[in-house]
Amino acid sequence: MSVEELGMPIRVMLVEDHTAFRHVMTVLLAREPDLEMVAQAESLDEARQHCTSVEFDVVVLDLGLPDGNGADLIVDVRAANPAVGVLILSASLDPTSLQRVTLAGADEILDKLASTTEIAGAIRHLGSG
Amino acid sequence: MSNDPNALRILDLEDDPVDTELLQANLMAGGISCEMVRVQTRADFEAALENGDFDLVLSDYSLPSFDGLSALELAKEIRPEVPFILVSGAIGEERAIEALKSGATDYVLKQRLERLVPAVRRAVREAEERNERRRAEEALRQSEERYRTLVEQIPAVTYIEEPAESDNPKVVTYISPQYETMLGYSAESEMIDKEHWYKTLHPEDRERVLAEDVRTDETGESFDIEYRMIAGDGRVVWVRDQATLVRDEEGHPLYWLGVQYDVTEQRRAEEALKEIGEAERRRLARDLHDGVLQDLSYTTAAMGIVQLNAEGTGLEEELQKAIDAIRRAAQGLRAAVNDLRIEDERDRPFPDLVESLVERNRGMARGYELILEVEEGFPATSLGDAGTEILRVLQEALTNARRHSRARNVQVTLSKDRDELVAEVADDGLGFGPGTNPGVGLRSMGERAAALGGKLEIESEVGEGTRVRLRVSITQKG
Repeated sequence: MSVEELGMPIRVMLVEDHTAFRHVMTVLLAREPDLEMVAQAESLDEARQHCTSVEFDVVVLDLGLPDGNGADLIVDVRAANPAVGVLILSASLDPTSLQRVTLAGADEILDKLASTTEIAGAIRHLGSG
Repeated sequence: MSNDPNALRILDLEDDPVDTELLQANLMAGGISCEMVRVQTRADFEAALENGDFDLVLSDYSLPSFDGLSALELAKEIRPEVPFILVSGAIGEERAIEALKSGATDYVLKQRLERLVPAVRRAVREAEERNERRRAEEALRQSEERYRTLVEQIPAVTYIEEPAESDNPKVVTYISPQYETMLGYSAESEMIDKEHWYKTLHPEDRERVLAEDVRTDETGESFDIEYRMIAGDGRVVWVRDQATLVRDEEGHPLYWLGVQYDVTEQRRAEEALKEIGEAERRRLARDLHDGVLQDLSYTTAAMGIVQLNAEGTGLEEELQKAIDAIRRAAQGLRAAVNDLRIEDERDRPFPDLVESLVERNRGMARGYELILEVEEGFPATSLGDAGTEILRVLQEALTNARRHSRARNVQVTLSKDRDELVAEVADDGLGFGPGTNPGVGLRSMGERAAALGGKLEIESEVGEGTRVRLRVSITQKG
């Protein structure tokens, strides 16, 4: 399907401090015509700033950020736009952290080891719901 | 003045110096070497007594300005321990008796001076005996005082308790004042109220401590145990209590001599160290996670991109194998790190561990019900290492149910089927059919099942939900 048929591409903000992984995500989203990376943040603070200045449909949030717990960002994201889809990527799948973000309102938790196809699919699913 | 240091120093209240000489001569002849000081007025007598160091007072009965009985009174006041002998002419029996009753050591008639020497010897000897006794008592008192001070300075509680065989069994006859410092109860409360110790023992420690108390009463072995007491202000105090049975020469129990120390600080330090050890392990776990897993995640994703670009080429399959290998490595690492958490729990009853697992998973997704059912017959014991493996399989199955199936209801069931333990995760989600790639998760579950010597059964149809069942033969477990 062409972008025109799909309508507007799904706008994605990526919050991830691992530079190489950010790069991979950039490449991945560039391959998907219906997904567009509109903002990137290396820290929760940076992400908060984007919340108020950029419009996005899905935020892909890594849990291992240096300046705090991702769960706290979810509150700010929803405050800016309640309809945003929150996709958590977790490498450790630590049950306590996952419980926390779920209770904070994450829509989906994905194993960071999942295939790129799965990740793209999850973003797509959240962005169109 | 005689230079003999052993000479008796005598104060003589006498107005006639000749009489004094006579007395001295008499004493010397009798073998009593002495120094005599003569006074005749009250003032001189008083001054002499106060300033001098006399072994004996001799006094005439009546003097021009003074009298023997008043002198006696004065001497008793100023130097009560110095013997006082009245030496006089005939004074009559009544007065003599009166003098003796008033505290005179003896009286000697001047007409019967041959009695003087024996009287003096006896008086001096008695005075010495009295002094000896007094010195001994004082020494004992000081010694006791020193011991008491020593005992009370010890930063521990010392106590003495009657043995079980005595007429007052197990009564505490002494407990040092530190008791109050340590626990906030007065030392008396332990002695007066026999129940006091029992009441202040922490309820959880009572059984254990009393059992040891009974045992040592029976065997006479030393009592040495740590337990908690509840202080007056409600604080919990850890106490080390050591008591030894002291016996007499024949081996009969005399008393228990005990010491109690406050070891709360040491206990707290040990626990703190243990916690630090655990905190270190958790930190290690997190560091392992963050570092290596991040790298592996990146590598998997990067290879995924390469794989997408290699679509249609023969490279795709090779890349897929490599990606799977990395995933397995990463999952193995995750499991190893989770082991650091699970390690302490391995010996807990298996159903408890499953309950914790289910509880953790409940919080992980919204919009679905997660139920645990443990059927009768399922062992309530720890399953050791096998249990850990089964838990991992359950976790993977739960993760799949949550993420892929869009289930509304998920149930974990533990049951026993003849000689097999069965752990099942069933959901009412999308299910999958033969055409669906089972994914790495199911593959690794299968591998774990095989490693346990068990079987993994998966039942699923599209639209009909999924059941993942693990069967492990009991004889093979552990």
